[in-house]
Amino acid sequence: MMLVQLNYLRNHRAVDVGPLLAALCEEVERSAIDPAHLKVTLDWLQYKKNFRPPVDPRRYFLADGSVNCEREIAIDVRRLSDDGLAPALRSALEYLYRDGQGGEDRLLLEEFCRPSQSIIWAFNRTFWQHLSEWERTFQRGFLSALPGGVSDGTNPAFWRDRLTLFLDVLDDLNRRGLLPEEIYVLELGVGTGHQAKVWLDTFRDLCADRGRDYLRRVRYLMSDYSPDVLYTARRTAAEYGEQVSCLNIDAADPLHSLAFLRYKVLFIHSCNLYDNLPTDEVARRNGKVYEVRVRAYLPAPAVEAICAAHHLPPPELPTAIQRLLRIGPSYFDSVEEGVRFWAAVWEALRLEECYVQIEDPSSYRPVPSVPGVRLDTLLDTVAGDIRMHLSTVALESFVHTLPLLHPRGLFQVQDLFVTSLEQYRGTFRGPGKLDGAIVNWLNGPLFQLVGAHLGYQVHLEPFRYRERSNTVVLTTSQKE
Amino acid sequence: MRPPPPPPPRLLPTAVVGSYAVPEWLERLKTDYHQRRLSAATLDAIHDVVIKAALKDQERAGLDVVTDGELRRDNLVDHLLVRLPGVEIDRRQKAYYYDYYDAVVRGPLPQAPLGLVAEFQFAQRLTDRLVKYCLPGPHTLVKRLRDEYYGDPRALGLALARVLNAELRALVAAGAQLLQIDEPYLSGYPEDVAWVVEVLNVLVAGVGARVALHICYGNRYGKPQWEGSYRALFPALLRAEVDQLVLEFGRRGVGELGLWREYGVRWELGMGVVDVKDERVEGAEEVAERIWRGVEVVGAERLWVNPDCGLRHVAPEVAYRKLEALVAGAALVRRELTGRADA
Repeated sequence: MMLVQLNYLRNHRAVDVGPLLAALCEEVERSAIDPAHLKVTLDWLQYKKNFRPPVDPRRYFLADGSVNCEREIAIDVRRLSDDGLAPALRSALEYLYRDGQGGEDRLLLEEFCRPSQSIIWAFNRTFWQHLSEWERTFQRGFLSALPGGVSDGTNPAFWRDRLTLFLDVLDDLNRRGLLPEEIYVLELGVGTGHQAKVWLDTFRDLCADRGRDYLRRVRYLMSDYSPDVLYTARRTAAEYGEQVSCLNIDAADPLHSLAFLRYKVLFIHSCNLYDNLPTDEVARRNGKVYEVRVRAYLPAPAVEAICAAHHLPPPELPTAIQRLLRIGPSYFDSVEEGVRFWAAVWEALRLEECYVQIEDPSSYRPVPSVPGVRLDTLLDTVAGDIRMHLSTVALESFVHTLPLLHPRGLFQVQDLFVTSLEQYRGTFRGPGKLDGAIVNWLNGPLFQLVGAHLGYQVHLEPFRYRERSNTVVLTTSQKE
Repeated sequence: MRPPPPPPPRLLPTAVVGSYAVPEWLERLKTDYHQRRLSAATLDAIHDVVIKAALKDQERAGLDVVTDGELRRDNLVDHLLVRLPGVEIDRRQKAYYYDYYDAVVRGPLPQAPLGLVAEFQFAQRLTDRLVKYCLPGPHTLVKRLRDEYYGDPRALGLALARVLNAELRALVAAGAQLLQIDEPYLSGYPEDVAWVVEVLNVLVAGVGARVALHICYGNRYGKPQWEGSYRALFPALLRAEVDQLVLEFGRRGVGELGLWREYGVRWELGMGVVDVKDERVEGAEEVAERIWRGVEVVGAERLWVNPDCGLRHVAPEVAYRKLEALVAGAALVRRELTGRADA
């Protein structure tokens, strides 16, 4: 008996998997392997650019590094092609059942590691650090890579509602003599700066409607880890002068840079920041819990093509990639050539995956800075096999941002949240590639669990200001 | 009128505010009890042991005034609410031990003993230090109770104060010399201060022990529930018939000490000199510097030294080191004031 899990049924058009299943059975029979220990998952990867080959074999390891008898093949049904299917399946099965580490058909860029530690995040960082070079080369802004080409972070109706609520809080504090002289607002990850501008414009208009003078008391802090991004954003919100400050801070630990604002910030917000922060993944298979490990590689044909296009001897390719990530595209004689080399490597970049068993899930702490949160508590809320993100750095950011929040302050994150763990079963949730950046959905129930331990109720509401938006709005309230 | 309190145990006495660090494993066991996975008898036995350990920690750190760490309590109020006749709790099970009960008053509160004396005596038997006993005040209880009978917070507060007054007197009869009323909600509701003072005076009437009043900015889940200023409570608060005010200055700075001078406050000050919302352990010199500011404004003879609030949410090893820093800081100041190396 072989288990085939269909992960693509929700929200996607029908796919004829008959030929696939026939080819699969034929190849399994030919290979004489035990299908009882082979799990096949059929996914629909909605991100046209991603890190997976169409047929992705994965091995299982025990905690001591020895190979487990379980095996898995994940197939992207979106990229099914009848002619290449049988060879791809055969190759995947050979990979799974041969001894040795593999890697002959690819250029490995790292050893197996937790996904959050992978070199792919160095590419992601490079994208934001050198965004303007990338945009100049390809003559388009990064927002155009978003589904629908629009950010929900600048929706005027949304901001009018949210800031009306904020004004109510300010009015209440003011009436009771508890409103601080300076009204701190913190934006994490500033994009083009248009979100800041919409925030300030809307707040100005609402204050005028109510006859309040709060705007002059606002200290709007734009924070980002990319000076390049901050520079652009600063110009967008230039009309607000010194009321807007730019801070180059690490998104994983805002408190480290802003400790002087502990419990003082009255409005904290971000949009599509968390989905772009490093994450790990865990999976439960047949009652056992595993960490996902990855190693980045370039397929051999891509290595050949990139080296030919950029006149590089293949042995020098790893060094060229390392220097690109350290220096940026200006490492090349021409920045444009550097960007094109970077984009070609990024396009070809794949992740090989495996699973490593977690021996004692009850002692596994998915968020080390909140030791009371246990992985088994989360897994107990859902039955059967599941694979989910741990939103590793996003949760670190969350944990290290909440202490900045004024007791009556508003905290708001617009992002791609899974609101129920069951959602991990129906649709692929990342990692995907958006231009030169990475996108992963966020584990909303884990945010709720972490929030509860820190004294906050975490609310997850669909963004209702744009049809077919995937955005979910996370807000917090003080837990009684 | 209440009799004046006895002299302090020493110059610049050092104390905890109330609660002591709750280890993660104890939190899990308390939750297990609420989910019927652990018996009350077993949890009681565990509480006895952890209280002994907490007292030992406080003694080792060198405190003059200790508590049982409030380790039998789930949170600020439930421990008391379950003992108050007339308070109804329809659902006793909790998903997490620290959650609050939904407690409701549906009729007049009768007078009855609450059984707090035995807890005080348990701690007092285990130490030769001065034991402080703390309990939430009427304002805090009013804010946590659903009132379906009195229809007026002041009336409910007065009813609670009358019941608690009898218990305070029983504690004094059992040997309690230092009682503390915790009113952390007051800084968030300064508009209530007038009726709260009236109620507090009913609560402490005829109580022959030193009575402290603790007002902070909340410490639920180790974070403040309000930001504002103690100033909003003055001068109305001055009419409270207490002996000591226990306030937080460690986290918020000493700026509001000026209120003492501005209003000619006559009370002792239990000065919070250690931040309980930050895991960073203060140095002895840093603590001493804060104490000096208190000495300048309040006077050494009226100054007690304590953390800002309970240490419940601080990691156990950090809580202990913070207490050590507090004791060392007080010793530095005491040494300079008395000229004695062993002060």
